[in-house]
Amino acid sequence: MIIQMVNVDRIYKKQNVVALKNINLAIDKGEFVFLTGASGAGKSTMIRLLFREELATSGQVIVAGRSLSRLSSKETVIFRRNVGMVFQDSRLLDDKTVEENVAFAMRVIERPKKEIDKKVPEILERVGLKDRLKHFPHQLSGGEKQRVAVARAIINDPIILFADEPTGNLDPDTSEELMELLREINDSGTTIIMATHDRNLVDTMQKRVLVLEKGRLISDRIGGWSL
Amino acid sequence: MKLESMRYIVPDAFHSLQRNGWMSFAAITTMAITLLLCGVFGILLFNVNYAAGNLESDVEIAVFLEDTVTAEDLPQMKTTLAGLPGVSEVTAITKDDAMDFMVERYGETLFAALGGVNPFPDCYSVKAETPEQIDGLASKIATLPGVLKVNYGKETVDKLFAFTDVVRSIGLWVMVLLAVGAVVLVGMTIRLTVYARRKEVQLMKYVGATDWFIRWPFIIEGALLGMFGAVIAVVVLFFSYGKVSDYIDSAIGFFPMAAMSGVLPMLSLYLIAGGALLGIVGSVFSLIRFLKV
Repeated sequence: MIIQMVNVDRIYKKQNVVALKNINLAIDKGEFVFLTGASGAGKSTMIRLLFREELATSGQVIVAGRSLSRLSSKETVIFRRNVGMVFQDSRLLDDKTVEENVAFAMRVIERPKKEIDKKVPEILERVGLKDRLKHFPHQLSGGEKQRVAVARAIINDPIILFADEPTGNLDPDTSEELMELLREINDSGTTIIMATHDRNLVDTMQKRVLVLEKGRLISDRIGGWSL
Repeated sequence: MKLESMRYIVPDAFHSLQRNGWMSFAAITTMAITLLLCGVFGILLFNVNYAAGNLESDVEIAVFLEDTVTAEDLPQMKTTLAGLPGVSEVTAITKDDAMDFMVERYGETLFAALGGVNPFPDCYSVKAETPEQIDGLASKIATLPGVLKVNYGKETVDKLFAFTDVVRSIGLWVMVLLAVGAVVLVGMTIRLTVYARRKEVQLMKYVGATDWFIRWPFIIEGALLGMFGAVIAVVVLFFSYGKVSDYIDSAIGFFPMAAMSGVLPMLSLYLIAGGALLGIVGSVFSLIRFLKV
């Protein structure tokens, strides 16, 4: 079991919003899990809790055996090095090339230059962008940008990859290509948690699907879109 | 923080300075003015101490005589002075000697300007055996009949210190205010940089960069702002010290200025270190609320 949530509530006190209510779930290592639900159902909040960008108001979020609320800031840094994150807007740095954007993730955790020089081209080849190394983000299509974002997220070999609506800005064909890439990454052993409201993708993939509604987990089963 | 990362961090810091051009300019200028003032006060204090050292070890007392003392009284006066305990040597400088000296130095026009009247009193230069005897000797001589006044090094030193105390306390407050201004401006500049790079900073946190790794570039940028300011101040000091010291030499010859090579190199180091420190303080202030994982 790589992820466990026990009686998790997340309440935004200022806005008086209950974003998540009494969430209980367990995810095994190597699983591919979709997180679905209408806008505002709590998908992004859940991802933020799992990524420790926010802490649960009550209950426990346990990842790889550690309770996230108990991590010191040093431990949080280590935790972040072992998980990857892909956003809907790829969040690439506009003034850096594809290569530099991916290298950035290794550089800021001070990996040796030798290792960076070796790994970056490898990973970009893996995501199908080896002829785009010197391009800047504005020279890339939406799908290519997301591939760079994925490359950046997996370059430090995370045990879990979180993706928050990674196909949200992509057309259906490009979305499917990206899903294919994520499936490959999953096949190599990385656990993937992906928030989406793309019914077709979920139906095609036939993976485990968690459905959130108004902050509650109302369905958890393997298969297609179940609403 | 590994040394290798400096390869990226230092160029990044320079890039930021450029990006926030005007803000950097304001911060550097304020820093330069602050440090320049520090430098000027530093030089002033150094020279006062230097002069004080010179004057205090001086064993000469200048004894000026009343106009009422006539030429016939002079030998008697000299004998009296020479007879005092602790006196090693007495040299007479008559009012004519004094005038000759001044004419030699400033030309005949001086004599003409004074209307042909010699304003200088007769004077004796009394040398004591040791500097410690000066105080007692001077006050004894001052009470002798016919003595107008005595001048000696320590008295001048006391006056000098009274003057520098005032300058120092005013200067200190001005410098503190300026330093606060410089720190605030550096802080604002750094905050602009942080804002311009917020996306990058956010990403660094997401991929697990340590807080210190994220802070370093901003701290280096602050230090650079301070050091650039300091370098400007140092350059100005180097160019002006020689001129000012020449001017003081010719205007008030008795005030010995320390040689430039004795003051400026050390002072420059202090100023640059001080600039870097103020810059770092500025960036740390603007990073305090910011950059928690």
